[in-house]
Amino acid sequence: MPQEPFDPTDDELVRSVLAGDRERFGGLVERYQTRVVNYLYRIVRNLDDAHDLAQEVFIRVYQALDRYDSQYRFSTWLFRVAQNAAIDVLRKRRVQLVPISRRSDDAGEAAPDLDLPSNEPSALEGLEGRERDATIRVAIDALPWEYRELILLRHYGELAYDEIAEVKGMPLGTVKNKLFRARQLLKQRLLAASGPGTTP
Amino acid sequence: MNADRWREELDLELDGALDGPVVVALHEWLEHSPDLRRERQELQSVHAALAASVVAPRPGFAAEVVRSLPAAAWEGRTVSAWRWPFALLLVLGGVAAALFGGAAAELEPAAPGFAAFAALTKLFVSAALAGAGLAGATWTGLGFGLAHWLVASKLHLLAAGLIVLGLNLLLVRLLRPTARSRASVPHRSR
Repeated sequence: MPQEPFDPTDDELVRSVLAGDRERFGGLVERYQTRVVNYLYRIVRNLDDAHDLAQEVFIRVYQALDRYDSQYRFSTWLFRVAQNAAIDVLRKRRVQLVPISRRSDDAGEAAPDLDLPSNEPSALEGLEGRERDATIRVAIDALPWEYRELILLRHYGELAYDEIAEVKGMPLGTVKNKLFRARQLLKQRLLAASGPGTTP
Repeated sequence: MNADRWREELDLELDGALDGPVVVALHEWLEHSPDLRRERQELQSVHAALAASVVAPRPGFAAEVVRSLPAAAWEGRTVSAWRWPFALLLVLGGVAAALFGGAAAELEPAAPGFAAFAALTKLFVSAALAGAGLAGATWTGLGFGLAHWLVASKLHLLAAGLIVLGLNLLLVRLLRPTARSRASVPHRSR
C-alpha cells in the first residue's frame, strides 16, 4: 500500500528553515508560487515582471523569517509582503491605480436585468482561451482599486475570506460584501464585453 | 430575506464560503426563483472565467528562488550554524583537560588533586609574568625603534601619517553596512 506523502504545515517548514535547513524554504515557494505570481501578475500586468517581483517577495520573506509570528498564518504574512512590494512597484511606475471614470460607489447600483434564458449557456462561456483571458483582465483592471484588490487576493492569491480580512485589516462582513459587489461589477462588465445582445 | 440578500448568499455559496441551513434554504429558494437561477449561472461563469485565467509560473521558478536566496542575518544565529564551532570547542576543551590532568600528574604524582592544581597554577602565573615582561620589553623596544625612525626625517613622518590615514579610511569603509549588504545581494535571474 503506498504511503501517504508527508505534507508539512507552513509552520513546520518555517521552523525547519529557521533551524538551518534552507532547502525547506523551497517547499514554501513551491506551495505559494502560483498564487503569488498570479496575484502580482494581475497587478503589474507583465508576467516576467511578476516573476521578478515574486522572487523579490520570497527573498524578503526569507530574510525576515526570524521575525515571523506563528500566531498569524504564513499565507497572510506572505501576501502582506507581496501587496507592499506590488504597491511599491506601482508607485515607482506612477501607474494610475483607478483607471475608470466611474466612481467606486457605482458598485451599489442594482444589477442590470440581463435577458438570458436560464437553460442556455451564459454568454461568458462562449468566450475562449486568450479572448477570455484578455476580457477578464480588462474587466478586473476596470474595477475600483478597493474591489480589484480583494478579487486578486481571493481568486489569484486564493486566500480565504478571513485571511483577506486579516491582510486588509477589515471586518469579515465587509470583505464578504465588497467581494460580492466586486463580482457583480465583474459580471456586468464581462457580460457587456461578451456580446452586444447581453449589454445592459 | 430579500432578493439582494439571496444573491449575496448565492455568491458566497459559489465561492465555497457558505454552509449549514442557509445552503438548504438557498436551494429551496432557487427551485422557485428563475431570476436567482439565472443569477447563479452568470456568477458561475464569472467564477469559471476567473479560475481559467490563472497562469502557471515558469518551470523551475521555485529552485531559481532558492538558489538566489542571499544569506539572511538570522542564519548566523541558528543552532546549526554554531554546531561545528561548538564541536571544535568541545574537542579543544577535552584536549586541554587531558593536558592539564597529565601535567598535574607529572608535577605532583603523589599529591592530592588540590595540591597538583596549586602547583600548576603557580607554574601558569610564573609563565604569564614572564610573558608579560617579554611583551612589555618588546613593545618598549618597538616604541623606541619607531620613534627613532620617525625623527630621522620628515619624509618618514609623512609616510607614517599616510599609513595612519589609510588605515582609518579602510576602517570607515568596512563599517559601512549598506554598501556591504548591497554587494551581498545576488542578481536576480530570469
